[in-house]
Amino acid sequence: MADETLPLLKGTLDLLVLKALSWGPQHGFALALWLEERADGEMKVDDSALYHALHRLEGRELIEGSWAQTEKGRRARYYKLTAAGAKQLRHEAATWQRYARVVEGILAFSPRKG
Amino acid sequence: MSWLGLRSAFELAVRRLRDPDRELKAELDAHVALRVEHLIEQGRSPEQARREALERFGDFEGTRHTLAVSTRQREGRIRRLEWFGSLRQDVTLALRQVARAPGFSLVSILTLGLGVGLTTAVFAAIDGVLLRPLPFAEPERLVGLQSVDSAGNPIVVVSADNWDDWRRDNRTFSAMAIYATIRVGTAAEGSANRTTAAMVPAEFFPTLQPKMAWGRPFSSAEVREGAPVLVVGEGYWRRSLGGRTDADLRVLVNGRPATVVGVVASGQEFPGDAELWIPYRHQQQGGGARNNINWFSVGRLNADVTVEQARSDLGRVARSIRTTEPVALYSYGVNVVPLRDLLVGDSASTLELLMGAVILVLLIGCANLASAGLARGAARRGEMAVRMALGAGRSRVLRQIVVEQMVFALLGGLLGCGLAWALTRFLSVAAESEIPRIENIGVDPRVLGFGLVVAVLSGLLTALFPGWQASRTSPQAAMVDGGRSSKRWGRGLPGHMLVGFEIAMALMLVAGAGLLIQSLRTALDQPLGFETKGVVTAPVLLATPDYNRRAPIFGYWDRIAATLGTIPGVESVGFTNSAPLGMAATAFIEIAGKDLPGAGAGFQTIGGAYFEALGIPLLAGRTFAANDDTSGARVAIISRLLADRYFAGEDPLGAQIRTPGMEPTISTSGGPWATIVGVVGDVRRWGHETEPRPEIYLSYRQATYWAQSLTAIVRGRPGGATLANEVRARAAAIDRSIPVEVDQLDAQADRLMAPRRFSVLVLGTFGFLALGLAAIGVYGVLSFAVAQRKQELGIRSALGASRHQLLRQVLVSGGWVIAIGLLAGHLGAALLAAVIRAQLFGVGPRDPTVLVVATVTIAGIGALAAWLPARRAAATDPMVILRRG
Repeated sequence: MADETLPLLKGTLDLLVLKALSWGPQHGFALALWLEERADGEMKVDDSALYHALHRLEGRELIEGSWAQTEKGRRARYYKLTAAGAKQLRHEAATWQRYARVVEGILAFSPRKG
Repeated sequence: MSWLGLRSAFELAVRRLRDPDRELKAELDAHVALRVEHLIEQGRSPEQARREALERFGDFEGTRHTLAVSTRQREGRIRRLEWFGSLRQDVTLALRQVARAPGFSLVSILTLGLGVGLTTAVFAAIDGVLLRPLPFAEPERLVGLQSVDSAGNPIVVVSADNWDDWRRDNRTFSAMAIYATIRVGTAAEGSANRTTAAMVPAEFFPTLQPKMAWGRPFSSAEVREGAPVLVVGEGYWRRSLGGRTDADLRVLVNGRPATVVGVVASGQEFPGDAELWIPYRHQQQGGGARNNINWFSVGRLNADVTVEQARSDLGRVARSIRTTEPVALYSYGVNVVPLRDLLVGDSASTLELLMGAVILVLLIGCANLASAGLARGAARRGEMAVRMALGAGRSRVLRQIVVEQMVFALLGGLLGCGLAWALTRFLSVAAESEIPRIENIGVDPRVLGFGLVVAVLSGLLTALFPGWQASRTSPQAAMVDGGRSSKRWGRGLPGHMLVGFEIAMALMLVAGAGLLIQSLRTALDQPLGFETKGVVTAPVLLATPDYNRRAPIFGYWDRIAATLGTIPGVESVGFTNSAPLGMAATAFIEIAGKDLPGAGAGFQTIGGAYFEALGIPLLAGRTFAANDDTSGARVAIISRLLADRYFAGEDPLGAQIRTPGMEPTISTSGGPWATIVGVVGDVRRWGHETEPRPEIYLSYRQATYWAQSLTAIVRGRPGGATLANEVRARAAAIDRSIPVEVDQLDAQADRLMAPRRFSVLVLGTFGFLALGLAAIGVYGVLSFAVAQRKQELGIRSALGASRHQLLRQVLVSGGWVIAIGLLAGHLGAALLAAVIRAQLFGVGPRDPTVLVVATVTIAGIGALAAWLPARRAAATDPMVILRRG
């Protein structure tokens, strides 16, 4: 199974976390679930990598953490996007999309056999 | 503790609970727990769920660790950034405060700069003179050795015979030596000069171990064989010998050739200004020669031997000397003193006095700075209250005050370091002859560090009062009265305390200066018993081979007496083997028909019109006549004190007296008897502060042992430098190869009083300074109080208080502060007097005249400083104030 899932490109996880948080504040586990559901088993993210990303983003003040209760009454750390984070998300998403388009375009171009 | 204080304490506790490690663990644990719950909901068994959750997580412990580290770093960085940000804010604010009140700020910074500068400069001097070790190898092992007389008093000089026994029989020294300096004439490479030479045995160099710039010290064998060798100092070597390193480098010393075998590196010269080291071969003479104490002695202790052990070891040797030779009168022990203490000597107490005085000036500077801070703080009470109300913590406000005072202190410190630099440059030149080793002082990193520490401490000290004031500010109260207050004491107290303190310091210094001035006056009032004005002294040493017999020696003195006597304006010319104010020998005397164990007197051989030249009165009998020479019967003249002490109720004239051991060339046991022919007035031969002692005078033409080295005493009008120059020229005209040094006796007397004058100058200057600063302090604080209470004064005036009443109100509040300050100052003055007790002369530490004058002076100046603001208060126009209120 491990062989079939996609490796995560460097820097992508940060972007995905920012995107996930753009729907509203979430704690780490919810983010993990969200990513698992979206990726639909195609992409595997270690929970530890997710926490590295969260702390990295917090250090850059793109997100902000604070303690709160879950619906089931458990204390968990919730993260929310900061203004800077929202701006960063827009910028990176645009860059990513452009990048993906360019790469896809290049790959779609098939050389004529000469 | 106030409510605010409680809250900040609570916040501090909460912050400490926010441990990043613990938080992180909680976050990750919560994650795993949520995952487990989720998996159980999906139908996994609890164990399976837990295993899978951990597996999904990856490296749990590793992640926790790395994240904890990065979190801590991030938090630290944030806190530092915040701290520096607000510090910069505080510094900017402080600088703005300086600019806002330029006058007061400038005075504060200047006084503090003065204090720091003076303290730092004196520290540089103390560091260079007292704290730095001597430049020799293992200097802590070097000690000075001194004789001890029957009364147990140490005497700085020793006899060579005693030293020889100490050297041979001690068990605690690795080496010891004696030395004596003489002035010699030298000629080398065609240039002639006079310089100081030290006569030293071969043991001298192993004792001190000075570094050699070239060559080697002379050896014991060379000294024993009387080889014509010598060691010179690096300065002399470069100046007179061109720094050459020939094997046969020759110098003529008093006309005799000697070969230079070694060069002592510069800075390693000892003693003092010696530039030549001439071998001295000692031969034990024993008997009376034991009492010829003409040498200084220095020793190097064995490693791990204490001064006390050395003292008791040499004490044993000294006792055995007295057992075999009871005539040895300076062998009741040996005093052992660390060499450094000996060299530094009196300058230690001078420097300590200086340090004390400058610290007082610094404290006064601090007090002014603190009261400036108080004034600023009070004026900005409203601002502070607003800041606190807006959530600036108490610690934040306190820090702002500390930063502000610190900015002032550092500005003052910077100024002070510059001042210290200039002062040390000045001191190293100006006090060169007063304080040994001072030429080496300067501002180095150590000294700069000291200055900085002093500045920072001053800053903290000055922040204390405004800080206290701010901590008593409650936002509500300050907001309500808008920075004004009608409270009489509560507000003014810290400021008044500072002023009282300044007054106390000023009184201390002024009273101390008064005591020293009084001491100087008392000392100068003590008659010397001889004239110094218009008297020129010219020591002459007939040490060249031309003068090895009696005839040429007497011939020289006759010729010089004749030629000096013809100088226009010269009244009388005399000779002595030891001129007043200089070194002098003490002799043990015997009087025929009397049993006087331990009787002693000052011993001098004289000639010519000695008593006339010095204005010493002849009280009975006659002075020496031309025929009192080797062919005539031996005669003596005694001083009045000797006559009173040993001839009470008798006529001393005609009595027989002698001084055993004073003329080593006479082998007769006890020496020849002399008939007393005259009695002269007493002299304080060592200066105003000493007591006269019994003196015995012999003719140099009879006690010829002392005839080779005499000092000509010339008195004439106008005297001074003119006479000195003429004496020098006439002496040179007789024999150019004889070095003659000429000095003025009144200048010597002045030099003797120089340390006392210096102390007076130091305390006097700083006393004045303190007085001025304290006056500024009184003026500042009262002006400020008047400005603060303008409204109250206006109301009083409106209610009918007269100008006179307003004036009195301010003066009385100032008067209280001054009175309390004076009271405290008297305690301080008593303390200072105890410290300078050794420097007091003929005046008690609680001298009423001095204390009254000092008190009245300070009270007067304080009152004057209070008068100006009081007058302003009295002029308050009620309408202006009431309208504004």
